[in-house]
Amino acid sequence: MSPASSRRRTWPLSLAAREGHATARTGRWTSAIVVIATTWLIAAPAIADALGVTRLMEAEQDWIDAGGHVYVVTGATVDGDQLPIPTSVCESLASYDGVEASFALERSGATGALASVPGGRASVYSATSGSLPFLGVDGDPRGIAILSTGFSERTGVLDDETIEVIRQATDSTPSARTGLVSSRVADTAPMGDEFDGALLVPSLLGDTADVCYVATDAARHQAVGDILPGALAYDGRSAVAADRLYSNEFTVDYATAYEDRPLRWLWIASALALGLMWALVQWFRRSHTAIYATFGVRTPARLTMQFSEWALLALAGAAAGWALGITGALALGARTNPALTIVSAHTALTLVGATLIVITVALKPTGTLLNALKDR
Amino acid sequence: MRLTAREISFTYPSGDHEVLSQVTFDIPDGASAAIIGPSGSGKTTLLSLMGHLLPLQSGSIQAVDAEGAEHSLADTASWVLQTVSLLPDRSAADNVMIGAYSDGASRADARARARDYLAQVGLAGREDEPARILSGGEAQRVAIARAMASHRPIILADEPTGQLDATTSASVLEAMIGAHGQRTVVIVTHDPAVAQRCDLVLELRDGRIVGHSGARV
Repeated sequence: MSPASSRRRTWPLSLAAREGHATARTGRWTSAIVVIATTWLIAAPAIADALGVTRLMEAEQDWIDAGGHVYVVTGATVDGDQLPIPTSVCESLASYDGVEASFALERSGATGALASVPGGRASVYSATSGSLPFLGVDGDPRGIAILSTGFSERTGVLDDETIEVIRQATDSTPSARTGLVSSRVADTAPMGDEFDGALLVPSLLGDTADVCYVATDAARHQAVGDILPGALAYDGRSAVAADRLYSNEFTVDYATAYEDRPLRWLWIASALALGLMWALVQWFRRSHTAIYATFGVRTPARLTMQFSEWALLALAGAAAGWALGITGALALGARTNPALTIVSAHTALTLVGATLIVITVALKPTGTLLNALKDR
Repeated sequence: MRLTAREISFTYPSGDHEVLSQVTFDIPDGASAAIIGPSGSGKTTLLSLMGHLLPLQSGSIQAVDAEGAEHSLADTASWVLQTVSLLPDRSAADNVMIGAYSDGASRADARARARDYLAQVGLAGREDEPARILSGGEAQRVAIARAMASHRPIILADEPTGQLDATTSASVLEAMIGAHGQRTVVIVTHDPAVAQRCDLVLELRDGRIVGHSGARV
């Protein structure tokens, strides 16, 4: 009936893993608590971080829309007169790494009006074709005039209407008409508040212009700024490149704010909380561990058993936490990209951190089996 | 498998007096032995040392097979504890299968052993019930079935029938001790009926063996 066996048996790791899974499946409240805690300890900090990053991105976008990362380059001042900048060089800067758009602008000093809107006067500027991508205007620069949103609101002229711009005569230029052109309404805030209510007419400028606008990407803003004075030098005199928006130590540096945000480290707290919770579960279950030990479960099998149980519960919780994190973040207004990236990063880091604690706990030496079995 | 204990002494780290002092005995292969004595005499401590639940401080305890080879009791003995020691959320069969797994049984074999030994302790048809819903006596019988399912040549049992009525106790004891020579069984007990059923009785008092009878060996 029961052939006596004295040979030393070790539990195969596959059997230990199966026992761990069985414990996870039958664990009732313990398993439910571990899964639910994992879900929320991943989702809640991830949602908070994704929302924080979204707010940061929106603030940065507002700043960019208002002219952040834009240089206004003018010629050097000599004897009270400002030198011009070379038009073609300014226009060609857009092909440089780190430059998103650039264009040259001529301040004609002229005012103008639309033939169809008597009295709707505005300052009229001539700009090179690079002004279209700079202002986010699609299409061919020929046959259009760019209306600032302020001008559009004031006159009621909308996008893609046929208009004719009448430029008033100045001391140096006669009156002129653009002929029939198509209107394009654009936010001119990146160029400066003084352009609100202005009309921009894309045109071929001469060899020089009054000012060059250069939009850069955030990462290479400083590097581009360093080369502009030399690149746009005129008559051997370096140009002057100034940030369109004033910034100092009291204004927000969005790159630094992103790197330094405290919420990005919340996964450490989550991992610690999960690891400690698991340690507590194992402490309450030390008699179970001792039971297995009396039936030949040695350290490798014990590790496998606890790890496989943890893995099953933690992966279930992490999957739910990831889904809840994404859904919650999007529902609360986070942008899709940071929501996906940040929730995924929180999920992975929390899992890895907690798992390291779980393994450490499993490796911790246990007391005597008798104590463990008596502590029931 | 024969059990030999030589000059075992033990003091708990937190205590200041010897719980066991120079204890020496032999239990022949296949015999059943009862360890009796008043509370605090060192019975459970002796059993725990035999099963490696406590670290040995001095002396030696060995299991010796028919060829004279010595084995550790950690590998040759299975346990039935005074306190019920089951995994509460697992089924009765799962708990018994743990014993079978320690013998290298496959899942199917372990399942078959669980069914067989649970039937032997009067729990046929209760295999799939979670251990937490079993009564104290039923849980104790599951623990006995688990020890038997391990097929280890030695069973160390601490008051294994403490929560059973006389009839159930007798049948469970019969299943555990079985036919002479099948396995060596060491039972700590206060119950004279249990001691009477064993081949050998060791009486402990103040950490020393003061009585030794072996009429049935």
